[in-house]
Amino acid sequence: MLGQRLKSFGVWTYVTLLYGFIFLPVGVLVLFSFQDSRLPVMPFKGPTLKWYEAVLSDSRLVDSMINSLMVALSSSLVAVVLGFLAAYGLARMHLPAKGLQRALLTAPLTVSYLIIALGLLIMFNALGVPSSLWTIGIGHVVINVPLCFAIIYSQMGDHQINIERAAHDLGAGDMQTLWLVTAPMMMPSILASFFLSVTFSWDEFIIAFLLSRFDVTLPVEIWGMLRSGLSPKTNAAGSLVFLISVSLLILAELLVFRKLKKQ
Amino acid sequence: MTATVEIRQLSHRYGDFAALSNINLTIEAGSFAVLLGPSGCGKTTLLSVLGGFLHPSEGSVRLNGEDVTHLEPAKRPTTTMFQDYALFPHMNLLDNVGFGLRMRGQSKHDRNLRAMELLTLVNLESSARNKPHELSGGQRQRVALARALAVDPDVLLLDEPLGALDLKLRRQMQDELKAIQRRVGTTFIHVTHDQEEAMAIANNIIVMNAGQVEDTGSPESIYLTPKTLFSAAFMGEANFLSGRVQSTIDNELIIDTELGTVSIGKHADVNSNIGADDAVSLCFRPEHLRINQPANESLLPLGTATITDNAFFGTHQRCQLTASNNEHYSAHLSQLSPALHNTDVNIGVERNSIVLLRSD
Repeated sequence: MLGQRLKSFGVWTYVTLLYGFIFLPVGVLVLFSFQDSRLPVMPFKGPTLKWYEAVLSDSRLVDSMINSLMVALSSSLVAVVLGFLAAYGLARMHLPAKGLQRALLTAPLTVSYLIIALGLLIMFNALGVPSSLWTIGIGHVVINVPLCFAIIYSQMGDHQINIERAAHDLGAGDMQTLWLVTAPMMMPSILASFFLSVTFSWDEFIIAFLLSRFDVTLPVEIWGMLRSGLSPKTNAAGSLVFLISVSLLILAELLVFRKLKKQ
Repeated sequence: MTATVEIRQLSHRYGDFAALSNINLTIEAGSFAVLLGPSGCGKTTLLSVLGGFLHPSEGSVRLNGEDVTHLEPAKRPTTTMFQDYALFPHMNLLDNVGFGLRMRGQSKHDRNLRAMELLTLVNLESSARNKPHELSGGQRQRVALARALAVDPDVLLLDEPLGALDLKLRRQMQDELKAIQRRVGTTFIHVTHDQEEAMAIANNIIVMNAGQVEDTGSPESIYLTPKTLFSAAFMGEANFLSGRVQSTIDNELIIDTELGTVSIGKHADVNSNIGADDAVSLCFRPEHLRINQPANESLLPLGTATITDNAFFGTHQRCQLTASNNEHYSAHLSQLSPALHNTDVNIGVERNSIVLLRSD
């Protein structure tokens, strides 16, 4: 009996410590965004929503939030289309050195964002392309294509080949089959990779920092705020970033991952 | 619509492996043909060639006289019913069945009407708005059939479509397929390794082995007068007695066998190519082997044998015998004949049921 109890006590302590370790920083961040004083430090006073009001009435912050959203949505769209086409090509066509091509496509997943950002910066400089939201977007496409490719490719099984054959057999051309059969059939993994790309792009900092100039994304703007010292306003902005990321993941879970599991 | 299928000098190789070698075949318009053979015999490869999914190394395929050998699947008047049904998982049944018509530019209204007609044909009109995953295996099967028939193909190709169904459902689907084929009149070419299924549905069976056609004909002719040893052994159970032709006298072949010297009448159509000194095999079915029957004109006696086993099969009893040459033979006895386990009996075969085949 006692051994049993000790064991379950041990398990609960471990679980509490583990989740505490993961979520305490976020919890503290969110908590002090409601701080009713000028500094986000103990003791907690409040709560108040004035810092959220300050964030939403700060036009630079709101602009950067819109920038982030635009970059995230458009770069993810491009990354998904490219990832899907690459997955389709590698899964269905006779291509030379398939293994190598697959490795090359997924390799950027292992390269640090800093290296990718530096590489892009040097390249854009050499080509005379000025830094802008476009260059950030391109950077995010670079980091998200391998992810989209890997997710979609993993879901392209041989059991779908006959379904595509059936479409051809019934008179569909290559593009019609791709558009009417393959893409809808792959929709759960396409949506999954889209949502993940959006979340990754949404709070990506290094590439956005190195490849931006006048228009910046939200993480870069928050970094700018941090340079002038801690403030609950920064916490509020960070909490909003977190809130939107979490909402996206929940949306993805509800819309996509459940369906994927069912299949 | 329907079409005659002509296959001429067709060969296909995968690297060094000859999947099909020199196939020559004519399948009449409106017939229900079955490609029958063990796995790896090339029957599915042949079906892929007919469907346009595979371009053969050599030879040609003609539909109603028109060469379609290198035509894409989309462009030829054939449709395939795939082994795994290959329904579009994201579309309801109506859209699945109407897909081919959509590709042919029919309006939504027209193609829904036609799709409904076909779903009615396969008794699934009430599930028209359901998705494929909501159906049972047998129902998916029917949707696949309806979808393939919706575009009014000249030839319908069926790739082991009943393989995944349980026995009872398979029997039922066989009857349905046959009835639907008769109603629509399309040429059906069906692939299977199940000889019972072949007999149940086909009016023309093509027995294949190792990339070649061994035998073609109606179920009766293949069962009763197989043209090769393989065909005899694959199509149902068969007994073989090997021997060598000693001489031919008038219309009789005198053959030395392990169970004595026998004489067999010469048939113009069946064993006309057999002459003196040829190695041959006498082939007869278990139901033509007689036990302890008085000698008469029509019975060819084969000496004595020991019954080693018998089992009750419902419609008959199946007996295993070991003859004096130590070969095993099987006989089908009537349902209620007494169990003769471990006894010695006289055996004989109905003369007119024996098929003489070259065994070299």
